[in-house]
Amino acid sequence: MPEMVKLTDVSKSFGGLEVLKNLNMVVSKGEVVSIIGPSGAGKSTILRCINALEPIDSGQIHLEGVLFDPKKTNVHKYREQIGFVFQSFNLFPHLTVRRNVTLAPLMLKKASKQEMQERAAELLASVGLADKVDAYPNELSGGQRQRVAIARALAMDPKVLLLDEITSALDPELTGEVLKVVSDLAKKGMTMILVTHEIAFARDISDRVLFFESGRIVEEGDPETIFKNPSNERTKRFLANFRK
Amino acid sequence: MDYTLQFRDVWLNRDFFIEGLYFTVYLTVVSMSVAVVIGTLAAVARNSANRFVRTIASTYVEVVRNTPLLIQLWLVYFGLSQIGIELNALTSGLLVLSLNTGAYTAEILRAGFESVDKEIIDGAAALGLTPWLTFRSIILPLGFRAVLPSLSNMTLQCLLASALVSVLGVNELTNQALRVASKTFRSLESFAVIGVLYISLTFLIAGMFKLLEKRMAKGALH
Amino acid sequence: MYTVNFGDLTFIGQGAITTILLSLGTMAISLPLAVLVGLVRSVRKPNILVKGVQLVFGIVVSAVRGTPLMAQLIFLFFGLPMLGIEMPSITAAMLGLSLYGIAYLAEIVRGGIESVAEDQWDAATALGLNYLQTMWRVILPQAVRIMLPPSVSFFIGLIKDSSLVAVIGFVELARAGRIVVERTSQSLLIFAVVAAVYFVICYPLSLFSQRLERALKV
Repeated sequence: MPEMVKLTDVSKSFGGLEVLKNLNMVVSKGEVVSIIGPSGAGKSTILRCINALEPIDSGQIHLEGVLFDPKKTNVHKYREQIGFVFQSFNLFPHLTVRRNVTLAPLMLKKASKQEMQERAAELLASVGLADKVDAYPNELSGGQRQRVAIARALAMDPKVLLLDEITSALDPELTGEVLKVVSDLAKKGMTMILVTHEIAFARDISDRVLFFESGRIVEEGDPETIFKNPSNERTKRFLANFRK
Repeated sequence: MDYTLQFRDVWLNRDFFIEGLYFTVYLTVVSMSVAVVIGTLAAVARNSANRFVRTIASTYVEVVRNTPLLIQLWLVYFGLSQIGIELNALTSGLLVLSLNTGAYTAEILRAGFESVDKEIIDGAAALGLTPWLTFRSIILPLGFRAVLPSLSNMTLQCLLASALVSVLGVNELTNQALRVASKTFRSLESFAVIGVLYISLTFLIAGMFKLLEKRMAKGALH
Repeated sequence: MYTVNFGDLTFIGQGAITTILLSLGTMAISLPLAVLVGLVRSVRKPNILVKGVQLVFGIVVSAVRGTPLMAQLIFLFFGLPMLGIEMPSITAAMLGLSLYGIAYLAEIVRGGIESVAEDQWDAATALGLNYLQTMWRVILPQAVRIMLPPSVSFFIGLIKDSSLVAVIGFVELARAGRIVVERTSQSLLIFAVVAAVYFVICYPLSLFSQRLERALKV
């Protein structure tokens, strides 16, 4: 499989705190990779760096083999190719669900309004929200909002989808509907990088799991191995907390 | 005190008040509209990456906000004519009132734009929207909506400030009240009439903004 | 063409002092009365008498805030003599500015009191404090923090708005500038100087006001 996202020796500090330490990772086309690990370890920072929402201090990021050069790459064109789903949804509160989904493609792609509206309806139907196209975000439940956010990201036809703890802000009974959408996407072959606390979900959906702690990938492998037979002490301890 | 109110003379001079109402509304509507445009530009300029642009904008805002409107009117009307720029009274009034209100509006809008949730802006950036597109479609509408009550208040202030243009001889309400009073010696009645008109206008403005808020309330902020 | 001489500048300087004194004097008169009006207007569960007073205060405050200061001053100075009530321009100026000050400051006082959380009243009542004790010991100390920044802003506004009394012939900074302009015809220079003097007075206060606002932000 060709590589989709490649991080080479990526480092990032906030103030004096080194959040990413010479991080290396490769995600192939069609692969679903979950990043797990303790809170505050900088997992979300990886995703924000990949999407250039945070500048990196050193290292290289390639998307489909093309280097992201902070000086030369058009950051907006670059971001068009990467979908991002946030923990807190970050929907546009003053726009209807439909407009949330169509806003960026209408402005950035040369799609016609008609075309885009049909596409939005299709996408919203695929996340189970066909009847909510004219609703405003504040009229929706958290789970529905997050599904709109996924549809919004998909409307740009991204090459890869970054999902940043997308169920952390949801009531437990609402996480299922969101995770189902994500596993549908996985089945369709979407390349995805997830940061998640849903251990069981990560195991079911992922091709590969990375255990991330203190700025480094401590252990990685297929879900079976990581969850059933972790070799690293820290991974063991972390996972033990979830078995209780 | 032995005084009988008598509105007959005032009624006979109703054309004065109608003209006054026209100029007061005209000054307020035009100045406030221009002020919103100036205010938006100045608010954006104050956050510009270019230091020169920032300095220009903040100098404009601070100078206007820390000097009296009356002096600004005199400076433009009398001062500029000294160097050959002759503006008539109404034009001077509109220009000064717009620039004055614009400076205050800039501060209101700046606060509004800054109030827009950083995460929502991240959401727009992640989709690939450029800063300009993000500003136009996200920050501008959300910022405006957040400060509608302040803008409503600003419009009221603009209405009241328009009375100052009377010193240049523009026939707005305050000037007309004085003219009718001088003509009829019915000062209490004349000023009572414009008092009622001004207060009615404040209610009208407040009501229109309330309506606007209601229409924009769809999709509340959280 | 006359030139501007040193005497003109001292005249403007005196005008500046008059403007400051006029503004301070207006604050000194308005503030206590505004506190009184604000307190009365924020009385909870008023009896019929208090309700009547509240209504009258409410109407007066709205009338003053809903009409231009300019119109008020012109009525006091040019309108009242037609009804046989004459007063010197200093009286009209002080009266007009003070009424204006009371109306605006009373709203700041009321807003401050009403912004103190409801449970503070409940807590004080539960402790057995009466209305005045609660107001004086619990509510006002908290409300003052909220009232201070807008009051300073109002004071800055007052310094600028006090220029309106120039229209009724009271000689303060703006009027002084106008008189010098009439004598010298140097309107651009003199009004620019006058504007600069206002700026020198107001700008430090504005900076102070911003710092105060930040410092008191809850």
